[in-house]
Amino acid sequence: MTERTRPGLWPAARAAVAPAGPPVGPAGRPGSPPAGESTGRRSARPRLLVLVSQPDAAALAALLAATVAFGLFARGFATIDNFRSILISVAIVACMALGENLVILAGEIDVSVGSTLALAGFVAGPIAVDTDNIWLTLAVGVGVGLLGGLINGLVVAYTRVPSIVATLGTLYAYQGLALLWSHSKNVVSVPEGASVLGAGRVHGFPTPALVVLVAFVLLTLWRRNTNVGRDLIAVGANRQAARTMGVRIRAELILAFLLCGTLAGLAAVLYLGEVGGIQTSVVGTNLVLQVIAACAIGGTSIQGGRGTDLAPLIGALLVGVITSGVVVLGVPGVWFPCVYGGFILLAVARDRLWQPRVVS
Amino acid sequence: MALTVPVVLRREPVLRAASLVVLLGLELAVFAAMSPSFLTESNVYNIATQGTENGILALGMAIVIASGGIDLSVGAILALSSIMIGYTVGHGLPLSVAVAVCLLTGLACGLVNGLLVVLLRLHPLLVTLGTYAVYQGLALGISKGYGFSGFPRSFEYFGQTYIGAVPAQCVFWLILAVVVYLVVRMTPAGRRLLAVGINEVAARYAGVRAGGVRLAVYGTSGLLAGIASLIYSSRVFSVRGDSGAGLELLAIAAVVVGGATIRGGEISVLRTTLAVLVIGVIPNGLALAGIDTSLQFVTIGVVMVAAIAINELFVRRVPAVA
Repeated sequence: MTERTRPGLWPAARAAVAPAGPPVGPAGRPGSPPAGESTGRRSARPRLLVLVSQPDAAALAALLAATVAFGLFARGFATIDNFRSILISVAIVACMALGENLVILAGEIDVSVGSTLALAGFVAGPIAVDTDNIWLTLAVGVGVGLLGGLINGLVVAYTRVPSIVATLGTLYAYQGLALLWSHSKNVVSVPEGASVLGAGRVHGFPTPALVVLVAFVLLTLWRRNTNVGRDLIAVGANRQAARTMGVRIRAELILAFLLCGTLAGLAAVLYLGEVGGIQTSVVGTNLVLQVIAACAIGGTSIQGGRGTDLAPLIGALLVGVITSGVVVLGVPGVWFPCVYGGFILLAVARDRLWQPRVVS
Repeated sequence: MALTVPVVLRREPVLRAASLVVLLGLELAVFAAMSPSFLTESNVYNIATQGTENGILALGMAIVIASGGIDLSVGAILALSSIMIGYTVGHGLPLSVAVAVCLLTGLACGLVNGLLVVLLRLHPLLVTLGTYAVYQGLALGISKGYGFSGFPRSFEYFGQTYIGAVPAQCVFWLILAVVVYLVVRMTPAGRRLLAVGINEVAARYAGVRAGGVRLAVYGTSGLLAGIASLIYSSRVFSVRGDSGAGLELLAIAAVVVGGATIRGGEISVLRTTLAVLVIGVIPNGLALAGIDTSLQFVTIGVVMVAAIAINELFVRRVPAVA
């Protein structure tokens, strides 16, 4: 039973990652994983309906609608420069959200990503300043993030401490380590060579967005084409069933947290490049809330087991487009969090109103 | 209605409270050895006054967590309520009105959280994440990003005066803790709270209106955040739209260090209050000992993990439906 080499053996997870995947059997018992693409769907259903019922479809529609609406009504919104600045502004949150999304899909949560970014940034920052070598900076930043994620994963997988509590603990621990390492001093003036990933342009296209795109493609390939990647969503959807089918729960969890930390480390390198340094004020809690919000707005269910890899990117972009549109329309900056919170609420309410009720 | 608490949980509380007392004693001993000015009357009051806001927020958080929920918005509610005091006073209204507005703001924010959780049946983590941003935005928007500090002298009452020899806010904290303790332990409302936290479906079958309980829970949390904001603004004597950031996580940390499971169905006012002190002593002690205060975060993290580990070792919980 533990040998599952053929991809077809896990239809639910396969359907979950492949939009037009093969039809799967009827839904499980009532109260089992939230309805979605992982439960029953008749093969006769038109392809369009299948697409529309994707978890991230609503957010995608909203993204397109918002872009078109702002483009029509907000003078100065639909310019190349503005789109470029939107991409730059969302890249860091999007990068972290890609990792957070994996953890949420697996039915857990990681609230320590902001601190992981700070720690990786403060460790890699001085190296970037001293050596001006992007590869070294990247290796150190990503390495620190990976280590932080690994610790989270081990704690969650091997103790019975719920992930929100465990990562709350590491949030404080990493935060403190970041401040200790930096002696509470900001890292400033990262030289040009070490900031190409965060500040560079490839034929005018911002490099940070490109990096996020590459990370997304790699993640998607991994999630679609390997058993380990496909099983991740099963761990979040129904852990008991996944275990019965021979999924190694602990390995999946550790991997999800590890990737989450790694991407936070990558985001730290982007941050160093884009901002040209890192400030002790980054060591806050705000970033993690934005990251979780991006996943939720994009359509990934916070309860796990339902969502797509694209969701965090759509969510982050949607927030970026709205923020930019609101700026162009001339709303004072102090109201942004309000608009933003309204969006989170709308997004989660949509999730509830559009989905069939789960019998409780 | 009879509610049977598992036998292990009934036997453990003394042990678990004792472990927190030992932890606090250890901290006090270490810090006292490191700095002669640590165990002085004025410094102990200092720790207590600074712990009060977190202590009151943690009381609300303990209730929310006991009901199986979570409230990420308390820090933002604190910010919004304190901005409302400044706004009201700034418009020339008397202080009594400002205090009422502050408390009502807290209550209203909490009720909005509760309504969203109950009516839309949304996950409280997301609801309060959203309302966190909304309240924070309102606080910043109403204050236009400026601080306010033109309070009348009489506003000092809540956070800078003494009742006898004890700081006033510590008395408020104690009264609130006792009230919450009595309500949780002695009243049907408290039993309904735990029933919903342990098993909402079973509670509903037993005739508990779970929605009403949840609404009350978030309303209480909001009201307590309003009270905390009153004390906070009075102590600091100036308010800003971004005050209170990060307090929600500290409150959750206190509840968790206090040994309540994040999955709900458990509450201990005593242990939560002890945990607030255990956490609150750390920055103060480190600062007096002349140690880099950034160590405080590491220490809080380590204390949290240690407390949870002790908790897991001492208490054989029913394994979660993993």
